[in-house]
Amino acid sequence: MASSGVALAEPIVLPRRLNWRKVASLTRSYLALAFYLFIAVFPLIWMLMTSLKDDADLVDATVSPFWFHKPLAFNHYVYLFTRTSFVQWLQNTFLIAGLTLAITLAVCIPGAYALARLDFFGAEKLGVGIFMTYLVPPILLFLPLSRLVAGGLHLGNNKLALVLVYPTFTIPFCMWLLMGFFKRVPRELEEAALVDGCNRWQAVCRVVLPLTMAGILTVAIFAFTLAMQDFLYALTFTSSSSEKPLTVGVPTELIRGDVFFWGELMTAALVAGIPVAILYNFFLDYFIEGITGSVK
Amino acid sequence: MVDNSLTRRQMLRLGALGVVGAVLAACGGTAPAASPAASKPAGSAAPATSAAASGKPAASPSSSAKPSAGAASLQGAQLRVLAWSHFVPAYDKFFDQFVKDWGDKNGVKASVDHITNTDIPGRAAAEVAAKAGHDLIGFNGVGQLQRRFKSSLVELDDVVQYAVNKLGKVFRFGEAYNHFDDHWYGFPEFYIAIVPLVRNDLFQSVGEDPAKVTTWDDYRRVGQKLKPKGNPGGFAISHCNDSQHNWQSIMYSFGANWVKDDGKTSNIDTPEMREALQWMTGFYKDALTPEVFAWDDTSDNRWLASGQGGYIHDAISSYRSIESSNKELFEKISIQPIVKGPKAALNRPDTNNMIVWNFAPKQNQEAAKEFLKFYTDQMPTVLLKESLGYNMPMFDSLFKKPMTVLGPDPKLAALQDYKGDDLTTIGFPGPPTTEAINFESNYVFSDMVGIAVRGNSKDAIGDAIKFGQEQFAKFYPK
Repeated sequence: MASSGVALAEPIVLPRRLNWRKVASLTRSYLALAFYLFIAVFPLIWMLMTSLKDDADLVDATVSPFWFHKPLAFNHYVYLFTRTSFVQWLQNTFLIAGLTLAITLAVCIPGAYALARLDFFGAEKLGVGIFMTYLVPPILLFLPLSRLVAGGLHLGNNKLALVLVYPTFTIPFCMWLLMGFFKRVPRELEEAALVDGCNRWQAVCRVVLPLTMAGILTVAIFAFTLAMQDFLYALTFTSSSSEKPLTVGVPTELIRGDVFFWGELMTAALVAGIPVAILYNFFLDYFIEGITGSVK
Repeated sequence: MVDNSLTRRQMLRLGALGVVGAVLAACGGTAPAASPAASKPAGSAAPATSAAASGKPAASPSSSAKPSAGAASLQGAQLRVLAWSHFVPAYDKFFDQFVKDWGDKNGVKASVDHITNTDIPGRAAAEVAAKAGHDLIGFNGVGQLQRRFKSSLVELDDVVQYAVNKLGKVFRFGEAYNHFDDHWYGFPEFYIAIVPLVRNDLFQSVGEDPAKVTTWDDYRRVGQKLKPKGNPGGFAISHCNDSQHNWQSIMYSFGANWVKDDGKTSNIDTPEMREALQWMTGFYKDALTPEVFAWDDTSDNRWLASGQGGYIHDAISSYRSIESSNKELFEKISIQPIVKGPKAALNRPDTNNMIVWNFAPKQNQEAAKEFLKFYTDQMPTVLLKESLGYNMPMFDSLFKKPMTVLGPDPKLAALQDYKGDDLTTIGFPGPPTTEAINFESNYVFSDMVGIAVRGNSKDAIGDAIKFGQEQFAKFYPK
């Protein structure tokens, strides 16, 4: 009985004070999280609502814009998929981003490894130099690049021009990022692999790459999204609807002078954003580990 | 036993050859294709009253695209056109087919690409840098870069002369954009009238007859009455094109200009400019609301479409959009004549002028010129009709009443008087020089209006003038 009395007394007195503090603390945390969640999710909700609103509802200034005042309208989706080349632009975007990603990784993995590990003369300065090229803004580069790509290589109005151009900004950034990941791998692990009979190639493939997978995935996501979101180069090097990526195709056909097709614009942004969001979600753990963690 | 296995070295060689082959094949094969969007039934924000929108071959581009006189020499040429994305999607569909049909009849591989009008200058700069790209481009709105790119343009004297012989003289503002240094460097295709779009019912509700509201002072008076009722006017004061053409129309109508007719000397610090800015300040306070500082080019359209706006001053695109989305509201809206100021009734429209690159292959240049001549022949029937009255001609003889589309429609009839010397250019009364275009595209005058109307100091007008003078020195270097 006594023991049960003690057991009863504990949750009645002490935990109450502790719970109160805990509740207050949790409330603060959740409020802060809710605030950031709202900021993060609001654009998506707004896009979704706009994509489903009737045009008359969109411009009615007498009602709250935060809810629907007419029946849901799917005409923006129908218009986007049946009366524009949206699917073609989506395909172009993924093709361009995918090829850019492949080129970026093919160049950056050996390049960054060499700069981080092989200790040749000037490696560090070369690494910094490569990163510095990333800092040159596209607005300065698109004219000379157009002379080279459209004038010299005759790749004007060709989506492959973008596959050629995008690595000029994905490689410097990703190379610099990957160098950091490779430097985190202890040399001793690689040396142990060499001692155990691996050659350099095998040591990289069997030891270094698996240990830097989080970094490589982080770089892959960066490269993919950088290639997906470019506008200026896409405008410079593509003009036919069949060659345009989303970033140029959508505003071209849905912004007509001073008439913006808001419903269709938001639909396009939403539909194009979903695959990227899913991609991020799949690799979220790796991504967080890549940008925050180290080799375990 | 034969060893069929590959060494690592052989494997790498084969792989490298394969990659090189694939890249070469991929790079060589993409010919400029006609827009797939153009081949689809484009929807329209505008009503299906046009032949283009209804799918009827109104202008019969196929049948009218007869081989031109010089068709034999054009065989095998290409014609790649870059045009803005027209606010009437059906017009783009019509124009794409119009160009293609002409090309088919003349043995020219012809296609049209469309991009947003504000992106055309950047694209044009890239093509000049590359010395490659399209053959024929429509310079739209503020992007009148004829003088900037003069050294890359084909002289179109023969084409414009052909058009003048057929369609009459070019309006002053069309000539100002395209004719300089004794040559025509651009073909005046069309202009976009900027008109007062007013709510008849709201005007009448405050005892005003829309037909008798003709001056800027009248509009201010009506605004004074409508604003307390929650129906103010809608004139953007911000970094957008609407802000530019609206306030410039007012400025010119007050006899003020930012540059003298030599196109070089500042005319900002003048009594006329002070009077104009003073009037604008009063107009803003009486008839507008602070939200106009955050407006873009679409905001006034939405304002009118919302049913709250008393009046706006813009292209008829908003009028046409409302026609298709809200018939009831559409019936209450009318288009008014050019508004008179104390000194003049001047209007600053946007224009679309076509240029031909001189770095395009010679055969393509000839194809472009031949197409422009063919376009000239068709202009009287296609220009206004297919664009629902949006593409206003810049040739005098096309303004004989009743004009196509505009004449028979009482609501559009006022557009027939938007012509001649009442229409002005960027940098009026000087020529639309590169300096004027830069001054314009950096929104200096809109900023001057903003400084004046916000009234953040005792001498806000003086501040606006001072700001304008500083910017003038920057954009018009001596």
